[in-house]
Amino acid sequence: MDRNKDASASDVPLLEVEDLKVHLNTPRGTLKAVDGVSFRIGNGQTLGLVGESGSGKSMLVRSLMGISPSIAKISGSVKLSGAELVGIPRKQARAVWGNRVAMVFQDPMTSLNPVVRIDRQLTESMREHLDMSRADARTRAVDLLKLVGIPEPEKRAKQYPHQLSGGMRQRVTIAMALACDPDLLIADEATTALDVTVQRQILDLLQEIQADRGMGMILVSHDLGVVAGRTDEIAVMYAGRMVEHSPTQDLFAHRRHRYTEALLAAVPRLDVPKDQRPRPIPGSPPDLVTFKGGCAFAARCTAADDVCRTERPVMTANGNPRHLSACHHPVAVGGETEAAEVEGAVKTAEVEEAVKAAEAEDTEATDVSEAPETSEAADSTAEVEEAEEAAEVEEADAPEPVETSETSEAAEAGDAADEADDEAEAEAEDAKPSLSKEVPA
Amino acid sequence: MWRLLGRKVLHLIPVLFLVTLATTAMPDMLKLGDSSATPVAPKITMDMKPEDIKKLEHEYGYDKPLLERYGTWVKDAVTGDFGTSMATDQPVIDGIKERYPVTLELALAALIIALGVAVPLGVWAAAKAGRIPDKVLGGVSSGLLAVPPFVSAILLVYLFSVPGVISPVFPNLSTDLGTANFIDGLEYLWLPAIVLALAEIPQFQRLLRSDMLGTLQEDYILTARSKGLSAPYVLFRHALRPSSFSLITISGLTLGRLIGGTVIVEFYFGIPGLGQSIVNAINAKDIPTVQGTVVVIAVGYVVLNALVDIGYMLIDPRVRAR
Repeated sequence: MDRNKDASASDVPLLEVEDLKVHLNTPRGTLKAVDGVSFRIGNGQTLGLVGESGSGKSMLVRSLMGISPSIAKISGSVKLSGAELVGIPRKQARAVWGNRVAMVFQDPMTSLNPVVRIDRQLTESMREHLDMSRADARTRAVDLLKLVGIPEPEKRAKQYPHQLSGGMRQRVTIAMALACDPDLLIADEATTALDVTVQRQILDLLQEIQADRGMGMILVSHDLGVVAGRTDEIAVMYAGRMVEHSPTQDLFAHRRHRYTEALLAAVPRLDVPKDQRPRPIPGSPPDLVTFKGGCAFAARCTAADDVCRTERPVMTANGNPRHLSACHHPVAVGGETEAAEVEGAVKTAEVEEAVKAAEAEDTEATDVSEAPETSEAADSTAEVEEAEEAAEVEEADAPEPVETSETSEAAEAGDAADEADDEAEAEAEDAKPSLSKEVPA
Repeated sequence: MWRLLGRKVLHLIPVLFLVTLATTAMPDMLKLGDSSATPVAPKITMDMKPEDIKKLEHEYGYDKPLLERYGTWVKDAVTGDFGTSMATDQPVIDGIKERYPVTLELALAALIIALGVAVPLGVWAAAKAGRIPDKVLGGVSSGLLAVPPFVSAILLVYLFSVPGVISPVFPNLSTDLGTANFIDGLEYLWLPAIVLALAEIPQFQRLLRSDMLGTLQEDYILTARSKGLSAPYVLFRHALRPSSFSLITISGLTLGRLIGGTVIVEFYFGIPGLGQSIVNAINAKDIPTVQGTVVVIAVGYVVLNALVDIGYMLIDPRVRAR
């Protein structure tokens, strides 16, 4: 894996974000959705942007795409290949959006216009930015559909979104994002709304396309497992600020911020004993309208003291210049989690396990994740077994239902555990009703 | 899709049955209220005795029972014979043939003008929701809603009849319109059409604005904006279609209403349309004419509703699939 390419290899980074602020003018006061975030992405690099709901990660990437709500005030600096984007006339900025920077959204069921044919949704950005003729754009649209693994692309291009499955639609939105060959692709929770089996296919597809085209990519997710094995660097956001930013391997090996630590502890894992259940983070993030000073995580942090409650920590390099964190009481160096372990612990990876198990049982089974071109019908035999296997695997490791856990205000990291739980239950019902008796009390 | 259309055509049957039966029963209902009332009133002269009236009723077949008269009427109606006008002794169908195109043209012109003005304004108001253009438009449409057609008709005629600017506001419509084609007709109908449109614009604009506001919250609008498309493109090519379902419904209903109910404007401008003719027929107690005209208006209404359903299919592929 050529993951740790040096960002400074080219003089000008692909994307350079400096002290970016997105402040929303709400009736209650100014909501600091993003409050002074800085990072860089080199050409061909992938940044994982992680945080729970309301951490500002979506607001951050939306401000890069010019789709912030109208009450948002954006300040700071965003440079794409050295050219400033903040504060330039809308017409100039439009030439960048959808052209050099493109975005894949969370829910493919709602992010495609239901009354517009697939081919127009694909070709309109080419016609706008590349000045292509209608016929050329159509040809390219069909090529793109083929590229993202959609069978019968000519037929599909003439169809409407409701005629496609969820996974197919997300492939279409990826094809849409690729229409103008962007330099930077932003995937905003691009797999969160999909089935576990499809999630992995889509992530693999994104990774493959990124490698082929040498694009920069921002992978936004609330799920550390999604970004673990697929990013060069990870930025952890909390309450509108960046709390830790580091090369991926280093983050998992030597996490420093207490929030990152808590996030990792909340990820359900396969490789630890059953009694070591995921730990939800107690409490909820602060109100970003009224929050003043100090560390935003202090109220939920076990190591917090008076300094944390009064002084805002700044991003500092503690030894490794590329590993920054903003914590007054960083975790002692020597955290033992490896990225690969975490990756192996979450939903997407569970599917991998399930697929392997299925393969072991039946060597004829099609490996869905390795063959994204395979039509859905062809996968169905493998899927049934996967579902069963996944159910068993997740069943064994399913965390307690949230009602019985100590904290009612589950953070999103906790939600990930809930989802795993829900899915395990749902799939168990589908596969083997008898399994549901074994749900841990 | 065709099955859906077929169902709509089937809906026609009970509607037509009830409407025609009710109009055939009009003489009987007249008698319920006033036993001396007679369906042959237009033919009665001062010197007629009750026996003469009975004879007249027999001549026109009104002495037969309701269902028998209904059967006869239906049998004639399907061949295009709606009977003879009591007042003019002309075949009812001839009068309708002459007047229906005039009314239809007036109603269509009014609808087109109303949509042509209301759609851009509605989109604009939604795009600028809560800001000055939206507030101004909201105020103006409230004002327009409060102006009935007979007021705006007088005001507009006053405005446009400045000598030398616009020539004939009141052409001799009764002689010219019957033979004029659609385009020529517009020369006479544009002002009444504007008067009718003015009353519809505010509700069209408000309806589209509120539906559009809902659509603009959708994720696919964010997707479209993230492609760097221009704001007008996003509004008209992405947001307008999914926002226009209610507008289409209301347009269909409005057109139906205009066809049957442009009486005031037709009277004011002296337009020989259906509305004028039905009011005249009612005043003259000319039952065959009322009957024929009502049926034609009812059919038009149901057909328009079927057209609205086709409009849905054109706009929303999900309806087509059903």
